[in-house]
Amino acid sequence: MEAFSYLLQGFETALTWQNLLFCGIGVMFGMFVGVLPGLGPAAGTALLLPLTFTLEPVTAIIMLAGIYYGSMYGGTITSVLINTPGEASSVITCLDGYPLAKKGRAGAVLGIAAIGSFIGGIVSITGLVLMGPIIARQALKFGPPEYFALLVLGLTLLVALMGASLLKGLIGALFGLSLAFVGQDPSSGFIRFNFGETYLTNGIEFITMAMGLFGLSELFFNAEKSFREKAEEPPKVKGLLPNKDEWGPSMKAIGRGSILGFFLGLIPGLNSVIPTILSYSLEKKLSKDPSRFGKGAMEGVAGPETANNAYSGGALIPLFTLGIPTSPTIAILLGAFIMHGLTPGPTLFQTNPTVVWGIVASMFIGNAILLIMNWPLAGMWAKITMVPFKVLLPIILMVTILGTFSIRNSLFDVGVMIFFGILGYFLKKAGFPLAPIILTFVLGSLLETTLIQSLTMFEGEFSKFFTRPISGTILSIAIISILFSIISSIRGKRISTGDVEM
Amino acid sequence: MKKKFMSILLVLLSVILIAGCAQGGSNTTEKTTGNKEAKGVDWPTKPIKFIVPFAPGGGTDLAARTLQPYLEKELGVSVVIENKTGGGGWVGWGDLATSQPDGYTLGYLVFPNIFTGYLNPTANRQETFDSFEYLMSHHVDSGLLVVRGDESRFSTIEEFIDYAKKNDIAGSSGGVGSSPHFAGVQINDQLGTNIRFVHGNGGAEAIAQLLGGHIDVGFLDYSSSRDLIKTGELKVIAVLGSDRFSKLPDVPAINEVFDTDIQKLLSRGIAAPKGVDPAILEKLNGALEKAMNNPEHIEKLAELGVEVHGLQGKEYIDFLKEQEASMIELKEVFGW
Repeated sequence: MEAFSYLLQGFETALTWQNLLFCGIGVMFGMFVGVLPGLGPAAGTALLLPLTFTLEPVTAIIMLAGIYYGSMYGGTITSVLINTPGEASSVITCLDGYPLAKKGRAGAVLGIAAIGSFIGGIVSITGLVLMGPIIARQALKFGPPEYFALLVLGLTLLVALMGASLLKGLIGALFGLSLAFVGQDPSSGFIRFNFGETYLTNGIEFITMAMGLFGLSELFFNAEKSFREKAEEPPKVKGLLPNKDEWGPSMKAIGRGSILGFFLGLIPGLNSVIPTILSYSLEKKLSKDPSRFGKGAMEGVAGPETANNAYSGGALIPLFTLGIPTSPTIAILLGAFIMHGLTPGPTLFQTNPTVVWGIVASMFIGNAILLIMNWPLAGMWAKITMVPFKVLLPIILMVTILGTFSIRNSLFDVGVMIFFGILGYFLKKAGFPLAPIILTFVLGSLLETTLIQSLTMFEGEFSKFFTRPISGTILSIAIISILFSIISSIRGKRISTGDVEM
Repeated sequence: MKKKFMSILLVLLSVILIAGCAQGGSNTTEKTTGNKEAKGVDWPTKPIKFIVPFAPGGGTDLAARTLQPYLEKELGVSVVIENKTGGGGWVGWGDLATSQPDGYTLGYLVFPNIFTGYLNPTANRQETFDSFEYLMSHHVDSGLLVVRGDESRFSTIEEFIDYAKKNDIAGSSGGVGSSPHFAGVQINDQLGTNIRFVHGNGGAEAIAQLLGGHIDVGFLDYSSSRDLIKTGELKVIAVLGSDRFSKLPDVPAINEVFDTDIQKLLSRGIAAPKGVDPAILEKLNGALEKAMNNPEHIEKLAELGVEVHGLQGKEYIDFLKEQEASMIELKEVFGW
């Protein structure tokens, strides 16, 4: 109850006209940053950080936090409309969002994503208010072995995204894993496969690769199609609401996604892809007709989108209560706190209650602003799908190249992006699904680091993975799910991998 | 409808352009060579680019941004920070080493990352220690030896070393050749302890692993662990180096307790590319000295938990050379 009176005080802080204004500016800027391919939440917050120095600490952080969760909303838009994920967590959204948009349902997809994001955001902030400090401590039980187990589970679930041919899916997944080898070896510092290029010593930049592999290759693909045959009639946009029979499953997906995302957000250092993969495969497993997934299942967007936003709210808890940033963007927020003379950590709630609760309250407001802004805007964004392709192509191309360049002012990255664009085009022609490539790439480097960290902790003993309760349980689940798949395929009931068209 | 759409796109494009400019700053390569006329050079006449090789908001960036306004004040022109990230800092430093030595490009150095970059043979780097003109040491970050507050196996540095001699323990590391790793390797080397290194991404990750009981000891800096030290959740058992740390006067320095030569190696400083006109260097050094000794700057730096180091010229180079030597000594341990 104490928390509630503090929260009310927080609203008092957040509702001053100045804070309200900067909260609005923050979420709006965040949304636009999210929409621009290449400029993700990390770049957005980093960009505006220096501009906040003259502001009051509370106001500055309210605005930066607004950019952070605002861009999570925005990232969805490009994934759905032009199949270009702006950050790792929106890769999954492309799977069903883009096919739905092609059918003219872009408005409905963006609508449900906005609703899901709102609910996910609110659930995780409420969680922060009610039980933040207590569970943050429990989450520390997750060490390298537990991450490793969770990543293995994530990889086994990728089977759900393998596309028509399991073999091609596996080839893609292994290709993605091997791309994760580029860069420095975490245990010896040996620099692998960089071909003398300093830009590659830390590995391939995720966003550059995602934009090439997904966005650019899709452009090439469409360009080819429009040369060969008469241009496809752009679909009519049908409504901003899901169909009647889509509401039920979508709302359930949103509920599950909120809880999943929130709890995963508490774990420091976990990749934001994990909650979306878990949510997607959970929805697919629970669905009455899993074959719809990948062709345009509303709950395949609703669940992961919600999980993603709940995750980003949950991720603030370790920051506020322990001073531990859980993602690059949160690390920049941590920097902002320090710059303004505040130290996140166990004493923050005691020493600066007005600031913390002001920020928490502003997040309720910010999420509401985003919902109000996004729902009507969804229709407007959706109309982009109606623009003739020959107009759209040069614009998207330009924005993609500029976006890639802006990540770290490097032409090398633009080259990498184009390379992956061409590669993605041929892979797609050959029928390889692209999602496993990019997802195993993201998980791969983390998998390697955590494996080596765990083995260092265990002095090389593999069996200790199973003697720790959490990692043991998660790994057992992963093994059982693989066994189940094998058994069911032996029995002739082929696992419904569905046809994921990417 | 089309009009509306185009206007949205225009807004988007302008946002991206602004973004690009904000980050890019003065990205044009300056071809001015007219600054070679001996004394009384007409410098600076235009903005100076200051390369920071790590992302905004991180420890390195924060420290650089603390200095920036005071340097601007002394030089009378704007100093534009450009965050050029990647390659463990070497994307930015490579850029610095190859840019025009006209005094309009400066860079922020971080040690031991600089050493690691050219000492690790797999990096295949052309740049060396001599690729830079070393100007002034900004600060040295006190490395702290930290354990959990409720640790029962050891509560003093003596007990810790004793325990670590007899048992295998796990320690934090920010990667091979990072300052925590290096400090730990020196302890193993000089005191015969058995610390294994869980290589990760440094500070924050190390704190989470330490609090969660996944590792036994952390080599942390004060600024990231300050709050947890205050609440007693983390306990500092020694300062790495020979001197005590002013914020924690009761904690002994490790070299004071043992007869060792363990160094706190994380230091940051300012450099220019090799070959800058000595007259410009002189002006730069003067401005840097004034900027660093500005009481406001000292106070701001104290908030980050560090003090001005302030070595210049030959003194600075000797200080760095000594550190480089101690790192080369341990080459084999790093596998180089």
